[in-house]
Amino acid sequence: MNFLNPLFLLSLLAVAVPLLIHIFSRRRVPEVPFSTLRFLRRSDRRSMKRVNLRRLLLLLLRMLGVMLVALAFARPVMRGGLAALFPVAGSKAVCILLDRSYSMRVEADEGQVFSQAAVRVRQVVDHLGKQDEVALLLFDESQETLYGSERFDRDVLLGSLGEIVPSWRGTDLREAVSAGRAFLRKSRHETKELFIISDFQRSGIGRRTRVPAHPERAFLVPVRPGPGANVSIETVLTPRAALHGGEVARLSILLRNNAEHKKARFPLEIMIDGSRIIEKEIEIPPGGTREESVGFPVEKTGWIEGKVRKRSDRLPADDERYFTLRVREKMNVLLISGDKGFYLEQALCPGGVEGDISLRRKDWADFTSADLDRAEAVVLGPGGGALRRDAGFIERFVRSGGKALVFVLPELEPLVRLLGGASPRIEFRLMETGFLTIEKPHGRPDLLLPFNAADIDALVRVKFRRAAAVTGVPAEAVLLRFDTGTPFIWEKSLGSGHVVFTAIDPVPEAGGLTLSPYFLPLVQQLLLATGPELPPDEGAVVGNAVTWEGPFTAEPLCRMPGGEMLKPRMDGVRRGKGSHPGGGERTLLIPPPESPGFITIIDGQNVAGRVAVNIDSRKESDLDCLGGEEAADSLGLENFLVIEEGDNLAAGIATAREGREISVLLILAAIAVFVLELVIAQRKHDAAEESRDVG
Amino acid sequence: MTARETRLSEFLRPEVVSRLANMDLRARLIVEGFIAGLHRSPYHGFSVEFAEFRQYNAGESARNVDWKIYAKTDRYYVRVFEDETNLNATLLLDRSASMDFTSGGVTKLRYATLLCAALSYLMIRQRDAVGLAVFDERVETLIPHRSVRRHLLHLLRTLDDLTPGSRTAISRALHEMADRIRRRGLVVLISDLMDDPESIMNGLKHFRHRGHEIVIFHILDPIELSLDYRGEVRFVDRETGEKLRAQPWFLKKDYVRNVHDWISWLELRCKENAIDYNKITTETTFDQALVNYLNKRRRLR
Repeated sequence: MNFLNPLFLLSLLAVAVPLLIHIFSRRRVPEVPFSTLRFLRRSDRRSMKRVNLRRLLLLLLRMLGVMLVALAFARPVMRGGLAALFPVAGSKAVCILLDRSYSMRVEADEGQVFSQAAVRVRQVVDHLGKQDEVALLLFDESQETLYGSERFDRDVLLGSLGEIVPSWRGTDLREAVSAGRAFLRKSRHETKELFIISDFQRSGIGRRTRVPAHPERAFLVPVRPGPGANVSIETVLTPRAALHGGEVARLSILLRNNAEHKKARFPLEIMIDGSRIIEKEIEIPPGGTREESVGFPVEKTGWIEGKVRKRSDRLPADDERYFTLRVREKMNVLLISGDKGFYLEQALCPGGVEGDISLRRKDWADFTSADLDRAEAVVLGPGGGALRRDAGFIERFVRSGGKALVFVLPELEPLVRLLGGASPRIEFRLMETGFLTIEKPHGRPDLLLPFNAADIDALVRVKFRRAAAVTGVPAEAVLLRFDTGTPFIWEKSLGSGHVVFTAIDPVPEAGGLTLSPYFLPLVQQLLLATGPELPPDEGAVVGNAVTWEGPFTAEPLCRMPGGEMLKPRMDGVRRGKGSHPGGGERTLLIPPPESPGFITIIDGQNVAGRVAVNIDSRKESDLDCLGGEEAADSLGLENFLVIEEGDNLAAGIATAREGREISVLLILAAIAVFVLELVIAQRKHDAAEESRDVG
Repeated sequence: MTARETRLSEFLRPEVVSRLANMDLRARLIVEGFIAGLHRSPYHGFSVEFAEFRQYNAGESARNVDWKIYAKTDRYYVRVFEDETNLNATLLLDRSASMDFTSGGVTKLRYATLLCAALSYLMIRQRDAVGLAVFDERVETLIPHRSVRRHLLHLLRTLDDLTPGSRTAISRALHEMADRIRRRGLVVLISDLMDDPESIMNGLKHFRHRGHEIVIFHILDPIELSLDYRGEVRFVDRETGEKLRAQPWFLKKDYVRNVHDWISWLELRCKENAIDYNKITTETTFDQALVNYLNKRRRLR
């Protein structure tokens, strides 16, 4: 005889309970004074023996009943004589599904849950014969056949199992069961068994579905993470647009405390290129989330690799999250202007020394579409009229993703109308008397970030004697206004690109701004700090294919998180026929990464880009596991046996194959014993009632 | 029984009487209530003192018919005389520890004391001389016979101060009293008779030998007859302190039979020796006990 729940044998100690009650109740007999014991003594000698015998019989029956119930809970399995009732087939087809999703990385008392699962696989394998057809399928969101053979070789299977580690993906148990059943369907054996060794994460099973009747017998072997809290870093959002050196990068970090009753408190670290730059103490209430925003200045240019991490808990897989930042070195700007463009040129490239802007200058008269090829932005300045042809080039440049800074001047009116749309009404005014000033903005817009409060106060006192008065611009597009209410700076998206308009006339005669110290930073900010608000970047997810768009000069290569180099597929479609950098963009199709880290996209000798890869910790970090029965029900399994963690797997398999669990029989026997006890007790009660009648 | 008699009988219930503080009042309540009941009852006719003329009832003895009134009125009237006998009555009251037992109402000793007080009151009202002996292992208190009213107060005070004693030795007390009481008379034994029955009968025979008439009031608690206890209990003997653990429901049948046999034996032996035996439980109203006494008294007259 085996026991599926041998731990429940400890409940046999409960047999002592009736005995203790018996002893205790004997001690608590009340004392009753009585006039004389003469007549009692005479009767007592005869009857007490019978009373004691009956009492002993009741005690024994109660102890027997409790013992039977305790044994029933231990789930004994009878073999031997009963085995003949369950003939065993000579050989069978067995498919073992082993969960390798990232939730199996949970650290339990006995080590990683996955290693417990591997132990269970070994226990299953120990009960297979050489004639059996066996497959071992590893599954997470996909399936991989680790072993499959019509002639079972135990050593080969165990040898391959030893090298397996859990993956970084979530679970799709339904698909795994389908794959296992597909294997069994193909087998010629009549006896088919499906072993599912998993933590049965709720997120990996989904809703209950009906499945067709299945001939195979399923064994559900749960391996549990056990009780304990888990705090996960769910997302780290980074700015999608490239930063410029010295700018503050802002990360938005979402953390979740998956414990229902325990508050989480831990230090959170931000690492940049291996160095810790920020550490914050975080506290999250039970079951709650916390969105943490951190900012830090970026000095280094190029691609920056970073990591957000917290102290490891029981599931270390979701305690780190990678991110990337791109810090641009210089912006390639083309200034198109006439002879009045001197001040503008000085503002963009003071003294001919390049800062954040790499400037080329072109006269309106010499301008061709080829000039736009290497430019990221174009500044349309004073001193010449744009031809209709030029306006067409510039419009296409913007629509294909370029940026344009347009000074609203009389000579550029056709271009302004082309890029700004039909509705703005423009009037170019010279103040005969008086002047305009800028309306003081509320707060500090991104455009004026380099300005402190005193600078802004000084800027709004600057007098303009000549400016364009524009109406019809949507209020939400206006970044700064004149005190008359007409727009001073406004912006507009056009195709994939962006246009910034300003009513500044960049010559000293037009007002005090051109020769003020604020002209240079304001013009540079108009190029650097404006642009469409892109959604923040979350990086890529393990197991999902990654796409990357960009211009490439050579055949690109990818270094995957594991260090593997591969050549990604390109979709081969050129887009954007304008004069955008590289003459257009290509899309790289990068295969799904299998582990967290960074994908580095290499174009010739240069790093073209970096992508952070993380697990999808929203899937399994809650460690919400289903019970075996519930999982079987959700998966639509009918012929199944759940072998719980404490259960003897060998006994469970034997139960299903050849033995019979006799818990029900024991429960019935216990009921019979208790009924017998009740009958005897009732007889005692009746005797008492009868004697009362005699009285 | 009429409604009025029912109400009077209610007043004679032991638990009602025992609520009164004063023994004199208690005795008076019992006796007066009893007598008041008698006037309306079939027992009317052997009242204790002259009372009245009353109409003759058919079937009644013609001995007391007042013929003078018949001559005058042509109606039969009965004249009830005060009894003028001078009987010596000795009350023997058992105060042993076994008498200090109750299953919920009054204790046997309390009941016996009240009964004793009522009898004393009744006897003195009849001008009988009453003596009292209280005993347990031996005679503890002995009050000689007197018939005056002041003696009644002495008796009642003695009874009021009574406390339970120790073990019982009824036969020894009976023999002692039989030797002491010279003049023949009525002996009233009020006890639970929890002693060796043979020796008790020997003591009673001693009285009979001296020519005394004997009335026994055998006081028992109802539970002593039924052993109506629930669950397992440990009985403690009031006199010896001995303990016995038992399942009463299991012993009950044998116990009841044993007690019944014992009582039957006592009844039979009393009958053989012309002793008036009255079994009374502490639930019995006092009028029934007094009627028993008066029956005996009438026979003695």
